[in-house]
Amino acid sequence: MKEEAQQPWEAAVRRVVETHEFEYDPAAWAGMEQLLEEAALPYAKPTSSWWAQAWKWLIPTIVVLVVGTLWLTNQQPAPSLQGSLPIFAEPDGVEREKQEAEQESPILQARPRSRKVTSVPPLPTKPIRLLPEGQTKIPELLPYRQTPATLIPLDARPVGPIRYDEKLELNIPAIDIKRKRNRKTLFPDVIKNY
Amino acid sequence: MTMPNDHYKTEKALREACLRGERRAQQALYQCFYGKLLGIPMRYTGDKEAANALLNQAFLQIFKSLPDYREQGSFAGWMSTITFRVTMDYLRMEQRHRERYSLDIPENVQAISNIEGQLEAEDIFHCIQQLPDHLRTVFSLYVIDGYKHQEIAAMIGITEDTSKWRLRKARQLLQAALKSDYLDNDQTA
Repeated sequence: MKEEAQQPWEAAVRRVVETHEFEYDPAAWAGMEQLLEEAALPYAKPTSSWWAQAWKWLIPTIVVLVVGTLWLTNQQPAPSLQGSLPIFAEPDGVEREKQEAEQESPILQARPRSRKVTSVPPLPTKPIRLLPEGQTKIPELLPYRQTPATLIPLDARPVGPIRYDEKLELNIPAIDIKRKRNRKTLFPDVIKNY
Repeated sequence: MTMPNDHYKTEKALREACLRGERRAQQALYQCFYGKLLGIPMRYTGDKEAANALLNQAFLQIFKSLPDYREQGSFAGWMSTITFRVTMDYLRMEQRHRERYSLDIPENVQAISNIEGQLEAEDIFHCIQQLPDHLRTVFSLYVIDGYKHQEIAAMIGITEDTSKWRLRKARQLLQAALKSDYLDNDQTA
Protein backbone atom coordinates (compact mmCIF):
# COMPACT_ATOMS: atom_id res chain seq x y z
CA MET A 1 0.00 0.00 0.00
CA LYS A 2 1.32 3.37 -0.99
CA GLU A 3 0.26 5.05 2.17
CA GLU A 4 1.95 2.50 4.34
CA ALA A 5 5.30 2.85 2.65
CA GLN A 6 7.89 4.77 4.62
CA GLN A 7 8.16 8.35 3.61
CA PRO A 8 11.52 10.15 3.46
CA TRP A 9 10.88 12.23 6.54
CA GLU A 10 9.93 9.07 8.44
CA ALA A 11 13.23 7.46 7.57
CA ALA A 12 15.01 10.55 8.83
CA VAL A 13 13.00 10.48 12.04
CA ARG A 14 13.79 6.81 12.47
CA ARG A 15 17.51 7.37 11.92
CA VAL A 16 17.62 10.21 14.43
CA VAL A 17 15.60 8.36 17.07
CA GLU A 18 17.62 5.16 16.76
CA THR A 19 21.03 6.74 16.87
CA HIS A 20 20.37 9.32 19.54
CA GLU A 21 21.87 8.74 22.96
CA PHE A 22 20.49 10.63 25.92
CA GLU A 23 22.80 12.17 28.46
CA TYR A 24 23.27 10.28 31.66
CA ASP A 25 21.18 11.58 34.51
CA PRO A 26 22.82 10.85 37.87
CA ALA A 27 19.48 11.37 39.61
CA ALA A 28 18.05 8.38 37.73
CA TRP A 29 20.53 6.04 39.43
CA ALA A 30 19.07 6.92 42.86
CA GLY A 31 15.72 5.49 41.77
CA MET A 32 17.43 2.46 40.31
CA GLU A 33 19.41 1.86 43.48
CA GLN A 34 16.23 2.03 45.53
CA LEU A 35 14.63 -0.53 43.21
CA LEU A 36 17.63 -2.82 43.61
CA GLU A 37 17.46 -2.48 47.39
CA GLU A 38 13.78 -3.40 47.40
CA ALA A 39 14.20 -6.28 45.01
CA ALA A 40 17.08 -7.89 46.95
CA LEU A 41 18.24 -10.01 44.04
CA PRO A 42 19.81 -13.38 44.79
CA TYR A 43 23.36 -12.98 43.53
CA ALA A 44 25.57 -15.82 42.52
CA LYS A 45 28.50 -16.51 44.80
CA PRO A 46 31.94 -16.17 43.21
CA THR A 47 32.87 -19.38 41.52
CA SER A 48 36.06 -20.93 42.82
CA SER A 49 38.47 -23.30 41.11
CA TRP A 50 38.03 -27.08 40.99
CA TRP A 51 40.52 -27.79 43.75
CA ALA A 52 38.66 -25.45 46.08
CA GLN A 53 35.45 -27.32 45.27
CA ALA A 54 37.24 -30.63 45.90
CA TRP A 55 38.64 -29.47 49.23
CA LYS A 56 35.17 -28.47 50.29
CA TRP A 57 34.19 -32.16 50.23
CA LEU A 58 37.58 -33.70 50.95
CA ILE A 59 38.24 -32.02 54.30
CA PRO A 60 34.98 -33.16 56.00
CA THR A 61 35.49 -36.67 54.60
CA ILE A 62 39.02 -36.87 56.03
CA VAL A 63 37.85 -35.54 59.39
CA VAL A 64 35.06 -38.13 59.58
CA LEU A 65 37.44 -40.96 58.66
CA VAL A 66 40.10 -39.95 61.21
CA VAL A 67 37.58 -39.51 64.03
CA GLY A 68 35.93 -42.83 63.18
CA THR A 69 39.26 -44.69 63.15
CA LEU A 70 40.33 -43.19 66.48
CA TRP A 71 37.04 -44.08 68.05
CA LEU A 72 37.24 -47.66 66.85
CA THR A 73 40.83 -48.17 68.03
CA ASN A 74 40.34 -46.60 71.46
CA GLN A 75 37.14 -48.46 72.19
CA GLN A 76 37.18 -50.41 75.59
CA PRO A 77 36.98 -54.23 75.21
CA ALA A 78 33.64 -55.74 76.13
CA PRO A 79 33.51 -57.18 79.73
CA SER A 80 34.29 -60.90 79.75
CA LEU A 81 31.55 -63.27 80.73
CA GLN A 82 34.05 -65.84 81.87
CA GLY A 83 33.18 -67.10 85.39
CA SER A 84 29.55 -66.15 85.18
CA LEU A 85 28.69 -68.92 82.74
CA PRO A 86 28.67 -72.63 83.56
CA ILE A 87 31.90 -74.43 82.72
CA PHE A 88 31.96 -77.91 81.43
CA ALA A 89 34.24 -80.13 83.53
CA GLU A 90 36.71 -82.43 81.96
CA PRO A 91 35.25 -85.94 82.12
CA ASP A 92 37.21 -88.35 84.32
CA GLY A 93 37.96 -91.98 83.43
CA VAL A 94 34.55 -93.55 84.19
CA GLU A 95 32.68 -90.64 82.66
CA ARG A 96 34.80 -90.86 79.55
CA GLU A 97 33.95 -94.50 79.15
CA LYS A 98 30.25 -93.70 79.55
CA GLN A 99 30.46 -90.99 76.94
CA GLU A 100 32.23 -93.28 74.54
CA ALA A 101 29.55 -95.91 75.06
CA GLU A 102 26.88 -93.29 74.43
CA GLN A 103 28.55 -92.26 71.24
CA GLU A 104 28.52 -95.85 70.05
CA SER A 105 24.87 -96.67 70.89
CA PRO A 106 22.33 -94.67 68.83
CA ILE A 107 19.59 -94.99 71.51
CA LEU A 108 21.74 -93.35 74.11
CA GLN A 109 22.76 -90.70 71.63
CA ALA A 110 19.18 -89.60 71.22
CA ARG A 111 18.86 -89.09 74.99
CA PRO A 112 19.57 -85.58 76.18
CA ARG A 113 22.95 -85.46 77.73
CA SER A 114 23.43 -84.39 81.28
CA ARG A 115 25.88 -81.67 81.95
CA LYS A 116 27.95 -81.42 84.99
CA VAL A 117 28.02 -77.95 86.36
CA THR A 118 31.01 -77.44 88.51
CA SER A 119 30.50 -73.93 89.77
CA VAL A 120 27.45 -71.71 89.90
CA PRO A 121 27.99 -68.13 90.86
CA PRO A 122 26.32 -67.32 94.14
CA LEU A 123 23.27 -65.13 94.12
CA PRO A 124 23.62 -61.76 95.80
CA THR A 125 22.86 -62.24 99.52
CA LYS A 126 21.02 -59.06 100.14
CA PRO A 127 18.45 -59.38 102.92
CA ILE A 128 14.91 -58.89 101.76
CA ARG A 129 13.10 -56.47 104.02
CA LEU A 130 9.40 -57.22 104.42
CA LEU A 131 8.64 -54.88 107.35
CA PRO A 132 9.25 -51.14 107.38
CA GLU A 133 12.56 -50.04 108.86
CA GLY A 134 12.65 -50.06 112.68
CA GLN A 135 9.69 -52.40 113.04
CA THR A 136 10.51 -55.87 114.24
CA LYS A 137 7.20 -57.15 115.51
CA ILE A 138 4.76 -58.58 113.03
CA PRO A 139 1.41 -56.81 113.47
CA GLU A 140 -1.64 -58.87 114.31
CA LEU A 141 -3.83 -59.72 111.45
CA LEU A 142 -7.21 -58.04 111.27
CA PRO A 143 -10.23 -60.32 111.71
CA TYR A 144 -11.81 -61.47 108.53
CA ARG A 145 -14.66 -59.33 107.42
CA GLN A 146 -17.95 -61.14 107.61
CA THR A 147 -20.02 -61.07 104.55
CA PRO A 148 -23.61 -59.81 105.07
CA ALA A 149 -26.46 -62.30 104.90
CA THR A 150 -28.06 -62.39 101.51
CA LEU A 151 -31.77 -61.57 101.19
CA ILE A 152 -33.82 -64.10 99.31
CA PRO A 153 -36.54 -62.36 97.27
CA LEU A 154 -40.08 -63.54 97.88
CA ASP A 155 -42.25 -64.90 95.14
CA ALA A 156 -44.51 -62.39 93.46
CA ARG A 157 -48.18 -62.48 94.46
CA PRO A 158 -50.33 -63.81 91.61
CA VAL A 159 -52.64 -61.21 90.16
CA GLY A 160 -56.28 -62.35 89.59
CA PRO A 161 -58.36 -61.53 86.57
CA ILE A 162 -59.73 -58.00 86.39
CA ARG A 163 -63.47 -57.88 86.57
CA TYR A 164 -65.49 -55.01 85.25
CA ASP A 165 -68.90 -53.93 86.43
CA GLU A 166 -71.20 -54.90 83.67
CA LYS A 167 -73.94 -52.50 84.91
CA LEU A 168 -71.69 -49.53 84.82
CA GLU A 169 -72.90 -47.02 82.29
CA LEU A 170 -71.57 -43.71 81.32
CA ASN A 171 -73.98 -40.88 81.98
CA ILE A 172 -73.04 -38.59 79.23
CA PRO A 173 -75.58 -35.82 78.87
CA ALA A 174 -77.00 -35.37 75.50
CA ILE A 175 -75.56 -32.35 73.87
CA ASP A 176 -78.54 -30.67 72.44
CA ILE A 177 -78.07 -27.37 74.12
CA LYS A 178 -76.72 -24.58 72.11
CA ARG A 179 -73.43 -23.71 73.57
CA LYS A 180 -73.19 -20.28 74.92
CA ARG A 181 -69.88 -18.65 74.78
CA ASN A 182 -70.64 -15.36 76.30
CA ARG A 183 -68.96 -14.04 79.41
CA LYS A 184 -71.97 -14.68 81.61
CA THR A 185 -72.02 -18.39 80.98
CA LEU A 186 -68.27 -18.85 80.95
CA PHE A 187 -67.51 -16.89 84.11
CA PRO A 188 -70.73 -16.69 86.11
CA ASP A 189 -68.97 -16.19 89.47
CA VAL A 190 -66.97 -13.30 88.23
CA ILE A 191 -70.00 -11.67 86.72
CA LYS A 192 -71.98 -12.25 89.87
CA ASN A 193 -69.34 -10.74 92.12
CA TYR A 194 -68.94 -7.87 89.78
CA MET B 1 30.78 1.50 24.42
CA THR B 2 33.13 3.25 26.80
CA MET B 3 33.62 1.87 30.24
CA PRO B 4 32.89 4.55 32.80
CA ASN B 5 34.89 2.72 35.41
CA ASP B 6 38.50 1.75 34.88
CA HIS B 7 38.07 -1.15 37.25
CA TYR B 8 36.11 -3.10 34.63
CA LYS B 9 38.24 -3.34 31.53
CA THR B 10 35.83 -5.35 29.42
CA GLU B 11 32.11 -5.77 29.09
CA LYS B 12 32.41 -9.36 30.30
CA ALA B 13 34.23 -8.29 33.45
CA LEU B 14 31.46 -5.79 34.09
CA ARG B 15 28.81 -8.47 33.61
CA GLU B 16 30.55 -10.87 35.97
CA ALA B 17 30.86 -8.18 38.60
CA CYS B 18 27.14 -7.48 38.21
CA LEU B 19 26.45 -11.17 38.66
CA ARG B 20 28.34 -11.06 41.94
CA GLY B 21 26.04 -8.24 42.99
CA GLU B 22 28.65 -5.49 43.05
CA ARG B 23 26.76 -2.25 43.28
CA ARG B 24 29.59 -0.29 41.65
CA ALA B 25 29.45 -2.58 38.62
CA GLN B 26 25.69 -2.26 38.42
CA GLN B 27 26.01 1.49 38.44
CA ALA B 28 28.68 1.33 35.74
CA LEU B 29 26.44 -0.83 33.55
CA TYR B 30 23.52 1.49 34.14
CA GLN B 31 25.62 4.50 33.27
CA CYS B 32 26.95 2.82 30.12
CA PHE B 33 23.60 1.91 28.61
CA TYR B 34 21.32 4.58 30.08
CA GLY B 35 21.54 6.95 27.11
CA LYS B 36 21.13 4.23 24.54
CA LEU B 37 18.21 2.41 26.17
CA LEU B 38 16.25 5.44 27.35
CA GLY B 39 15.20 6.08 23.75
CA ILE B 40 12.99 2.98 23.78
CA PRO B 41 10.64 4.00 26.59
CA MET B 42 10.95 7.65 25.54
CA ARG B 43 9.24 7.03 22.19
CA TYR B 44 6.43 5.04 23.79
CA THR B 45 5.63 7.17 26.82
CA GLY B 46 4.43 10.70 27.13
CA ASP B 47 7.11 12.09 29.41
CA LYS B 48 10.67 11.59 30.57
CA GLU B 49 9.77 10.66 34.15
CA ALA B 50 7.60 7.77 33.01
CA ALA B 51 10.34 6.73 30.60
CA ASN B 52 12.91 6.80 33.40
CA ALA B 53 10.69 4.68 35.63
CA LEU B 54 10.21 2.18 32.81
CA LEU B 55 13.93 2.09 32.11
CA ASN B 56 14.61 1.34 35.77
CA GLN B 57 12.12 -1.51 35.64
CA ALA B 58 13.87 -2.77 32.53
CA PHE B 59 17.29 -2.58 34.20
CA LEU B 60 15.93 -4.48 37.19
CA GLN B 61 14.77 -7.17 34.79
CA ILE B 62 18.19 -7.11 33.12
CA PHE B 63 19.97 -7.65 36.44
CA LYS B 64 17.58 -10.46 37.27
CA SER B 65 18.05 -12.16 33.90
CA LEU B 66 21.80 -11.64 33.73
CA PRO B 67 22.58 -15.26 34.75
CA ASP B 68 20.56 -16.41 31.71
CA TYR B 69 22.58 -14.38 29.20
CA ARG B 70 24.44 -16.86 26.98
CA GLU B 71 26.70 -14.46 25.08
CA GLN B 72 24.86 -15.11 21.82
CA GLY B 73 24.43 -11.84 19.96
CA SER B 74 25.38 -8.47 21.30
CA PHE B 75 24.83 -7.64 24.94
CA ALA B 76 23.37 -4.26 24.00
CA GLY B 77 20.84 -5.97 21.72
CA TRP B 78 19.86 -8.35 24.49
CA MET B 79 19.33 -5.41 26.82
CA SER B 80 17.32 -3.53 24.19
CA THR B 81 15.04 -6.54 23.75
CA ILE B 82 14.37 -6.68 27.49
CA THR B 83 13.72 -2.94 27.62
CA PHE B 84 11.34 -3.18 24.69
CA ARG B 85 9.44 -6.07 26.28
CA VAL B 86 9.11 -4.24 29.59
CA THR B 87 7.84 -1.18 27.72
CA MET B 88 5.32 -3.24 25.76
CA ASP B 89 4.05 -4.89 28.93
CA TYR B 90 3.54 -1.46 30.42
CA LEU B 91 1.73 -0.26 27.30
CA ARG B 92 -0.59 -3.26 27.27
CA MET B 93 -1.44 -2.63 30.88
CA GLU B 94 -1.96 1.07 30.30
CA GLN B 95 -4.02 0.59 27.16
CA ARG B 96 -6.81 -1.20 28.96
CA HIS B 97 -7.12 1.69 31.35
CA ARG B 98 -6.68 4.35 28.70
CA GLU B 99 -9.21 3.08 26.19
CA ARG B 100 -11.83 2.93 28.87
CA TYR B 101 -11.72 6.67 29.26
CA SER B 102 -10.71 8.56 26.18
CA LEU B 103 -9.35 8.28 22.71
CA ASP B 104 -9.30 11.98 22.02
CA ILE B 105 -7.25 13.11 19.10
CA PRO B 106 -5.93 16.65 19.19
CA GLU B 107 -6.41 18.92 16.24
CA ASN B 108 -2.71 19.44 15.87
CA VAL B 109 0.61 18.96 17.58
CA GLN B 110 2.80 21.91 18.40
CA ALA B 111 4.94 22.61 15.38
CA ILE B 112 8.68 22.80 15.66
CA SER B 113 10.90 24.79 13.38
CA ASN B 114 14.59 24.93 13.36
CA ILE B 115 16.66 27.76 12.09
CA GLU B 116 19.45 25.62 10.90
CA GLY B 117 17.15 23.26 9.02
CA GLN B 118 18.20 20.22 11.07
CA LEU B 119 15.87 19.01 13.75
CA GLU B 120 17.45 17.86 16.94
CA ALA B 121 16.63 14.43 18.28
CA GLU B 122 15.23 16.02 21.44
CA ASP B 123 12.71 17.92 19.29
CA ILE B 124 11.66 14.81 17.44
CA PHE B 125 11.18 12.99 20.71
CA HIS B 126 9.20 15.94 21.96
CA CYS B 127 6.92 15.78 18.92
CA ILE B 128 6.44 12.04 19.25
CA GLN B 129 5.66 12.40 22.93
CA GLN B 130 3.03 14.99 22.14
CA LEU B 131 1.05 12.44 20.14
CA PRO B 132 -1.81 10.70 21.95
CA ASP B 133 -0.67 7.46 23.53
CA HIS B 134 -2.57 5.11 21.21
CA LEU B 135 -1.28 6.89 18.11
CA ARG B 136 2.27 7.17 19.39
CA THR B 137 2.45 3.45 20.11
CA VAL B 138 1.41 2.44 16.63
CA PHE B 139 3.65 5.05 15.00
CA SER B 140 6.72 3.97 16.99
CA LEU B 141 6.08 0.30 16.42
CA TYR B 142 5.57 0.74 12.70
CA VAL B 143 7.96 3.51 11.72
CA ILE B 144 10.82 3.15 14.21
CA ASP B 145 10.77 -0.49 15.25
CA GLY B 146 9.60 -1.73 11.85
CA TYR B 147 6.74 -3.99 12.86
CA LYS B 148 3.92 -4.81 10.46
CA HIS B 149 0.27 -3.95 11.10
CA GLN B 150 -0.57 -7.59 11.70
CA GLU B 151 2.14 -7.85 14.34
CA ILE B 152 1.16 -4.55 15.94
CA ALA B 153 -2.45 -5.67 16.11
CA ALA B 154 -1.45 -8.86 17.88
CA MET B 155 0.94 -7.06 20.20
CA ILE B 156 -1.38 -4.42 21.56
CA GLY B 157 -4.68 -6.19 21.09
CA ILE B 158 -6.31 -4.15 18.32
CA THR B 159 -7.47 -4.96 14.82
CA GLU B 160 -5.28 -4.51 11.79
CA ASP B 161 -7.56 -1.79 10.43
CA THR B 162 -7.40 0.11 13.69
CA SER B 163 -3.62 -0.05 13.52
CA LYS B 164 -3.65 1.36 9.97
CA TRP B 165 -6.04 4.09 10.93
CA ARG B 166 -3.94 5.07 13.94
CA LEU B 167 -0.78 5.20 11.84
CA ARG B 168 -2.45 7.44 9.29
CA LYS B 169 -3.63 9.79 12.00
CA ALA B 170 -0.25 9.84 13.73
CA ARG B 171 1.50 10.60 10.45
CA GLN B 172 -0.80 13.53 9.76
CA LEU B 173 -0.22 15.02 13.19
CA LEU B 174 3.51 14.45 13.23
CA GLN B 175 4.02 15.69 9.73
CA ALA B 176 2.16 18.85 10.60
CA ALA B 177 4.30 19.27 13.69
CA LEU B 178 7.51 18.76 11.79
CA LYS B 179 6.41 20.94 8.89
CA SER B 180 9.23 23.27 9.32
CA ASP B 181 12.37 24.24 7.58
CA TYR B 182 13.63 20.73 8.17
CA LEU B 183 10.99 18.98 6.08
CA ASP B 184 10.93 21.73 3.47
CA ASN B 185 14.67 21.60 3.09
CA ASP B 186 14.63 17.84 3.01
CA GLN B 187 12.14 17.80 0.18
CA THR B 188 13.91 20.44 -1.84
CA ALA B 189 17.30 18.83 -1.33
